[in-house]
Amino acid sequence: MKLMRKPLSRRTLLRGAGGACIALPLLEAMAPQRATAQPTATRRLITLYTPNGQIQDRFYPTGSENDWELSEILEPLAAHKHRLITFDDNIRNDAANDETKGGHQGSHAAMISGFGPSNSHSHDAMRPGGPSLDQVVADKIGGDTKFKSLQTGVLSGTDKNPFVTIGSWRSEQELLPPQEEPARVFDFLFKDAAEVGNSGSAEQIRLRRQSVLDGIIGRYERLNSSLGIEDRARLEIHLSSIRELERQVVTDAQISCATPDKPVADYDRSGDNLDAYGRVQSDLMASALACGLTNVASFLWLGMGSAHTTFSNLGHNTNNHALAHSRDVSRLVECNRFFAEQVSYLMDRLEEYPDVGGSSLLDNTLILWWNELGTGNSHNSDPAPFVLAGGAGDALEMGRFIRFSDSQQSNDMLLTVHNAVTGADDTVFGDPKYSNGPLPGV
Amino acid sequence: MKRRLSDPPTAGRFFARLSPVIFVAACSGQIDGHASPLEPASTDLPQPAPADLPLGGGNNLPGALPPADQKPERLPASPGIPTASGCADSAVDSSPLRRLTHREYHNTVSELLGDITDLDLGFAREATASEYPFLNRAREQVVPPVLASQFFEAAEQIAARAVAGGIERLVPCAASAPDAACAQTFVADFGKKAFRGPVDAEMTQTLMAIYEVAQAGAGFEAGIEAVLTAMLQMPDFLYRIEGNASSPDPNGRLDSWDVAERLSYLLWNTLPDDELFAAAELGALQTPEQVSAQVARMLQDPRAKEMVTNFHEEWLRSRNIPNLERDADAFPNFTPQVAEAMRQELRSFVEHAVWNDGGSVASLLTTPATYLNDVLGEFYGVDGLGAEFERVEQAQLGGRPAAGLLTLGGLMAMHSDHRESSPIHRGLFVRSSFLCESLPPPPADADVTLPEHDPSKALREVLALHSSEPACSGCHSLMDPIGLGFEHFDASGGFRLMEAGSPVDASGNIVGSDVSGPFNGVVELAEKLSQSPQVERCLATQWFRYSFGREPAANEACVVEQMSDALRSGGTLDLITRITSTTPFLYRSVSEGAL
Repeated sequence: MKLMRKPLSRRTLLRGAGGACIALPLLEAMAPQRATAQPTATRRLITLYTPNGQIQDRFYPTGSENDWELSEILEPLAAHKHRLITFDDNIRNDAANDETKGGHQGSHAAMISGFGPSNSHSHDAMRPGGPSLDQVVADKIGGDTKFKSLQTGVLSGTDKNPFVTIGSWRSEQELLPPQEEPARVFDFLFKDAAEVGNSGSAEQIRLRRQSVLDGIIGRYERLNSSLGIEDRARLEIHLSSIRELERQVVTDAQISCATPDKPVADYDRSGDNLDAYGRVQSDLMASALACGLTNVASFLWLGMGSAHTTFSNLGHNTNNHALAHSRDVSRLVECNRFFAEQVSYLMDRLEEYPDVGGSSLLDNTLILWWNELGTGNSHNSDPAPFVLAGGAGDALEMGRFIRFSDSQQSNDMLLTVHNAVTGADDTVFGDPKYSNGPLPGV
Repeated sequence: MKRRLSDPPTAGRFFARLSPVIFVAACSGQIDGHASPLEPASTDLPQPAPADLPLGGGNNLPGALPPADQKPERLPASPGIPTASGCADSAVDSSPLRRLTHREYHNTVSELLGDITDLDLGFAREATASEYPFLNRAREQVVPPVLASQFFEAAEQIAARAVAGGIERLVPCAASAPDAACAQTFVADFGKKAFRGPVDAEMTQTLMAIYEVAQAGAGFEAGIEAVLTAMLQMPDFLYRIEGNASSPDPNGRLDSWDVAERLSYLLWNTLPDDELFAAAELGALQTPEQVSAQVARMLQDPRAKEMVTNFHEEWLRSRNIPNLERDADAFPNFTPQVAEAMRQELRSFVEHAVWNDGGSVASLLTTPATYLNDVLGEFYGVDGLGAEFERVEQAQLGGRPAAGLLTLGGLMAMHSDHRESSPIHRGLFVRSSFLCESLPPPPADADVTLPEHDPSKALREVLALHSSEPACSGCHSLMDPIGLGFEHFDASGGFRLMEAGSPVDASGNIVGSDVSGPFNGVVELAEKLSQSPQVERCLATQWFRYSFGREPAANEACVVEQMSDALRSGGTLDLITRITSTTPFLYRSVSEGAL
């Protein structure tokens, strides 16, 4: 499905590189580039978040590595069982446990970044201590796509702490909120591509946009040179965002693919319509990957925020967060089974798209399904309930239930996924204190 | 415009900007004073540890300003800054570069080019933190790729519509000569308003280059459209760039353009009007009389009223009220219409308390009345109301207590769970919003599993666990006994006489504040809080944050005191007026760079 692309202009590349050096010293330092064999098919990553913990005895599979049974919660994924890797309850999130005393917020930061949070003196002020996995990966494999990464989702909600309503961030300061309104997501992804061919002056539009962005970039650069350290750090992020926009404008003219139908405006995002809403957002994300618009996406199903969502589509009248704190296990199981159905749907969609060499997009897209907590009721980060789905080319053997002989760190789950998708052979992810190398036997 | 780049920014100044206004309450079982986890709530920078902060009582408790005899780290005062403001040696803290909030962007564009409400721009949400509820905190004003892309698309849409609306209306000279000279006139004239100051040569050159590219492709109108698209994304538009004066004041006094911009964004959340621009052009916003005359004029404008309401909505986060969901079985009458009316209740109350009742802390916290319409009246059990919100005295509320902000249904519902009231969250709300304190998370070994709800037990009994556990009692003794005073309000914000089969016990206690002591019910609690200097300073601190987009620096405690004094003597409007005559409002640190 991927189309030929012209190389980016030298100037754009220079700008892009300059921005990355200035804006992202941490990322650069943490993830040194290394020469790796070029994979035959492009690998993609989706990090998919659902909140408020699992119910251990209804979530973990049973059996042995190659002869295993899905659990009640994971049962909706039966058709894709051969494309899953599931794990036992031996994964701990000590980056959260040690630094933050658990909680939704600290665990959220650590579970997908491998760093304990900053500002840990207050739940509501906590911020992530390092970039989320998808951003580390995007810096390596997001390079030549229109969008280096995509953040989307369903209902992030609101909270006093904005960071718990997102699933991606580049730093403590640079939070990447998910886009949730389907028609807006569609416009964001496809509108420019749709314009090409309609206006008849695509080249004029591109030139004009390029000149506008050139002018703006020049002004921001000039301003930056006169600012103090804190202001400059902030403006550098803005500047690198505009440079990314510039790259999108350049890339625009070269991408064309069959776009899905545009979702209706003011999409029904009520609890009654959660199923359809989740599917339409999954469709859009799958299309973005299929059209080569991005290689890296994060999907935040539901924020743990204060706009607690009630699954009225399942006949519930108590919201998901409240359920996690109640002992109403059966309805919480229903919520998590619903999420498993949604993951299964996403896999169905990815499977429909052919990729190079007779493989499907699903074969080359690794989905990391994560949750900030192990046990919602007690705000316990452990055991960390990860599931891997899809595939990473030939980097991972799917269809297994892995049982560890001793306790593992969630950092090493992130490391394993990072290496599988990027082809790197890094030995550390996140805070080195909590990273011991790729998960054994995965 | 000349650039003043003489003094490069230094790390020294960066680290000097410390703001130990709020200290984390020393709780978590460490209330005995050992190893109290005192850290600034608002910065992750290394801090001079105020190790001697007493914990026993008085004004030096968590949340209070550092006492006068405890010298915080300060910047050396600029020698030439007048001290007439009353703060003897106050230095000018460096002002961070501020971006327009989404609200300010909307207002500014609408005044420049006509209302854009229908464009429904849907910008990415602005970030806040618990201690700092306002959407304008400069350090949070980061623009990730998605927001840059939204600004880009918004600029294209707005520009296209402005040009489609008639080029001669937008660019008067286009009627006679739609050429490059006319475009340059547009850049100078429109740019001066959009950028809130004269357009420099480099900017003119940049915009004209953009004009030429588009004009060559598709003509004059396309050229203007491209220029407008660029202008709306320029830092000069999106940010409030200050210190551009061609002959800068050696003491850092802002020029009249900057003062005009500060006044309009503070008082109106939008760009200066013609009168302010005219005054800026004449350099006539320099003397205290010139500034105060403008402030008095601006406070008469409806935009000032909206700004004050907006302050309260951000401070109390009450825009979230309409999103609240309650357990449908327990509260079948809590409809979205009721929730929306609860937000309006707060807006109406604030408007009257500030503009009609003096805007003192007492009027905000102890007014024995509220404002209801028919929808909310029905929910509260008050008959005979119409669609408009009107004042209803406590005596007409059927037993429901009324104590200004503290008894608003929306705030009571907001600080509850979906089914149960939450004395913990209500107590935390008082401590963080009204006492400006921040509490740390539960300790590592705390079992935070909620006990199984036993409907025969009052919450008070359940929460008693907190005081029996030393690990919990440190913090919870600060929160729970305040929150229990609100027990006459259920999780939907409704009034109740009974809880768990027994009459409500709303007795409570304040510890660790300057108005410590027992009370019975929310009216008595409000009475106590309204007499607290800490509450007064907290409200002044909230206004400082809202006004300056940052925490007060250590050396600005005196400025907060000035604001607090004005609040005490003349209410909210005097406080606002006082802000505009403070040193940090009128000056910038002289070493700060500018464009």
